[in-house]
Amino acid sequence: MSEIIIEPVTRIEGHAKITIFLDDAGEVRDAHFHVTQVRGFERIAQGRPVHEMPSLMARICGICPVSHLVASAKACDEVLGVSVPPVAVRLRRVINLAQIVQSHALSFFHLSSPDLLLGFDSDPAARNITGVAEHAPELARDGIALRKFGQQIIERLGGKRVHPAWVVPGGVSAPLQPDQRDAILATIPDARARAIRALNWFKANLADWAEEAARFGSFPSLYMGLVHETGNAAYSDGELRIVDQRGKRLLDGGDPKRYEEYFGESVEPWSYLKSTYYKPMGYPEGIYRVGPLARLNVVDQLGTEAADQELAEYRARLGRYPNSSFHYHWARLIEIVHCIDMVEELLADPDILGSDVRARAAINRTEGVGVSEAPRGTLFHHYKVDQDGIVQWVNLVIATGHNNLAMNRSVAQVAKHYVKGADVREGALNRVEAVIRTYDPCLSCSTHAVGQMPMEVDIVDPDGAVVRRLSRDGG
Amino acid sequence: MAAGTHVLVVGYGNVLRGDDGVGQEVAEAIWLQRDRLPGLARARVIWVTQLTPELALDVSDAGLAVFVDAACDGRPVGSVSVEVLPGPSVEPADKCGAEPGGPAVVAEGGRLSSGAGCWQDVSAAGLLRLAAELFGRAPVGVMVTVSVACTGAGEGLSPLVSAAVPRAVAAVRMAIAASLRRDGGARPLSGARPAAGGRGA
Repeated sequence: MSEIIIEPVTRIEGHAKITIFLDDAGEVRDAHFHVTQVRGFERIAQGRPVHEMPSLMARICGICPVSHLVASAKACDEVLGVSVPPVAVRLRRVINLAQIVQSHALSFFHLSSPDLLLGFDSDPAARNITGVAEHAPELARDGIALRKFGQQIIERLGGKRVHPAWVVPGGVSAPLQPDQRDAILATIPDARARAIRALNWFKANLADWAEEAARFGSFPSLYMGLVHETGNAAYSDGELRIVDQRGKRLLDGGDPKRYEEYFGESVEPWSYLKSTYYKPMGYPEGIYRVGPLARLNVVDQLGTEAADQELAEYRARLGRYPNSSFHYHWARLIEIVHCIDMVEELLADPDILGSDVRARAAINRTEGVGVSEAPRGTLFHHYKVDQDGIVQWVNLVIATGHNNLAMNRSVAQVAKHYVKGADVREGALNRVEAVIRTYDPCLSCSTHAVGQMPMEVDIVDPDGAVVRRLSRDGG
Repeated sequence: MAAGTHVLVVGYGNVLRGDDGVGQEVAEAIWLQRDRLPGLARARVIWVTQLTPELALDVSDAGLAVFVDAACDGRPVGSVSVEVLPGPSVEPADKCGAEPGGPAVVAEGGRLSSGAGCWQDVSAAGLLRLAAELFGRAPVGVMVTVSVACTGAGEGLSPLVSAAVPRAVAAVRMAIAASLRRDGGARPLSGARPAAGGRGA
C-alpha cells in the first residue's frame, strides 16, 4: 500500500496534513485528516482562578476568540450561580454575531473564494486574495469590508479587535454607549448590501461548481445546532437540536449542560483532534456535522426577513436538508446576512443601552457548562472548580471536533474521485484541501504569520520509501 | 503631502517571538510620543501581529504609509534600515511579494513577518498593490526594518534590538519629514481608474 501525504494543508486556521492511502492497484483506499498540533489549554487552565477563564480561553484562537469568551463566561456564570442581566445577554449576542460575520468573511472571501472565482485547477500562485482582487475587485472589496464590519463592532464593544476582555463572568464589563450603538448602526446598510451582492454572485455561479457540490462531502449525516424555542437560529443561547438527513429530530430541546449524555469523544492515534459522535448511534456511525450547513438544516427558520428569503431560495434549490459540505459556502453567506440583521434588530431596541450589565457573586457551584455557536459550529466549555474557585478540570468540545468524522469522510470521498494512483494533478490535491476548507476548521490559529506554506505530496511505498514527491511550486 | 491625506504607521510582528515584535514596539513608542514628535501629531499608528488584507483600506486612505518590521538580513543586530517600497505598478517575482518556495521564515528581503503565505497575511508591498487594485489609490510606502537575531518563543527584545527602538523611531520621523519636503503625498496610480465603490485618486 502507498500513501500520499499533503502537509501542511493550506488556507485553514492552523496546521494539519492529509494522508491518502493507496491500495496495491493504485486506487485510493482511505484518507485521514490529521491535526498535528497540541493545544493543551485544558491542562494549562488547571490551577487558575475561574474568573481568569474567559480571557485565558479566548487565547485559544485569534480568529474566533469571542466565541470562546462567550462559552467560557457562560460556564463561569454557572459556577457563580448568577442570573445574567437581560441587557448583558443581548450585548453578548451582538458581539458573538459580529464575530461570526468577520470569521465567515475570512473563510469565504479570503480562503475559499480564490478557488471558486479562479477555478480549482487555476495557477496556485494566483489562487489567493490578491488574485481575487485582480479578477473581481468588487468581491475582494466586499470581503474586506465585511471582515472590517465585524471587527469594528468587536472593537467598539470590547475595546480591541482580537481578544477583547469585555465579556466577563456575570455579564459584560461596561454598558453600551449611545454613540457606540449609533456608529455600529450606521454601518449596517453597507454591510448588508455587500453581503447580498456576494450571495447573488454565488447563486449566479452555483451551476459552475456542480461537480464539486456532488463530491465534496456529499453524504447523509446528522446535523446539530442551537435553536431558540421559536425554531429560530440561536448563536449565544438556545437549546440543542439534532436532526437526521430526513429531518427527523433525534434530539430537541436538548439541555447543553447534559452534552456528555449526547456525545461521545473518540481518540485516534493519528490525530490530536478528538472525533465526537452522537452517543446513541455509537462510533463511528454517530457522525454529525455542525456549523453553517448544519445550523440551516436544524432551524425552522432563521428569524429575520432578508435572511429567511435567502433561506427559502436555498432550500428550494438544494432541498430541505442539503447534505453536501460544499453548501457550507452558501449557508455561510446566508448567515452573514442573518447576523447583520440580528445586530441591527438587537441594537434598535432602546433597552440595549441599559446600565445593569453584570451580576456579581462568589463561588456558588463547583461545576459549569457554557455553550455558544462559534462560526464553525457548536462550542462547549465545561469546568470543574474547588470551593475557592480554582479550576480543577476542563473539557472543551470544539466545532472542529464535532466535524472531525465528517471531514475525514469528505477527504476520502474527494480523494477517491479525483486521485488516481501516483500521477496526481495539483488541482486534484487542491480539491482534497478545498473540501476541508468548506468546514472552515479552526485548529489552533492566531499568529502563524511566517513562512511560505508549501503543499507537499509524498507517495510512499509499502516499505516507507518515497517514490515520488510533488509540491505546489515545482511539481 | 496632499490635502486630506495623513501618515499611517504600521508596526508589525509577533511579540511572543522575541525580537520579531520590534515593529510593534516601535509603533507603540511612536504612539506614546506622537504629541512631542514633529510630523507625527496627526499620524495614524497601528500595531498588529501580521499584515492582513483588510489593512488595504487603511493604507489606501493614507498619503504615506510607513511599515516597521524585524529583519533577519545578516546585518549587525540592531541595524536600522529604510527603503522606499516599489510602487504598486511594479510587479515583483510573485504577486504577494514572497519568494516562491523560499526558506520558511525569511521572505521579502529577509524580513521575518512579511507574511509570505498570502492567505490571511500579505506583505507591505502586497498591501500597497491591494490598495491600488481595490481602491484605486496607494500611498508612498516606506519600510523601516530593524535587524534582529533572537526570534525564538518568548517575550521581550534582546538588548541590542531594544536599544535600536529610539533609532527606528527617528528613522520613521525622518521618512515622514522627507515625504513632507518632497510633498509626495498620495499618488494616484498612473492609468488606474477609480473602481466602483472605491476611492478615486
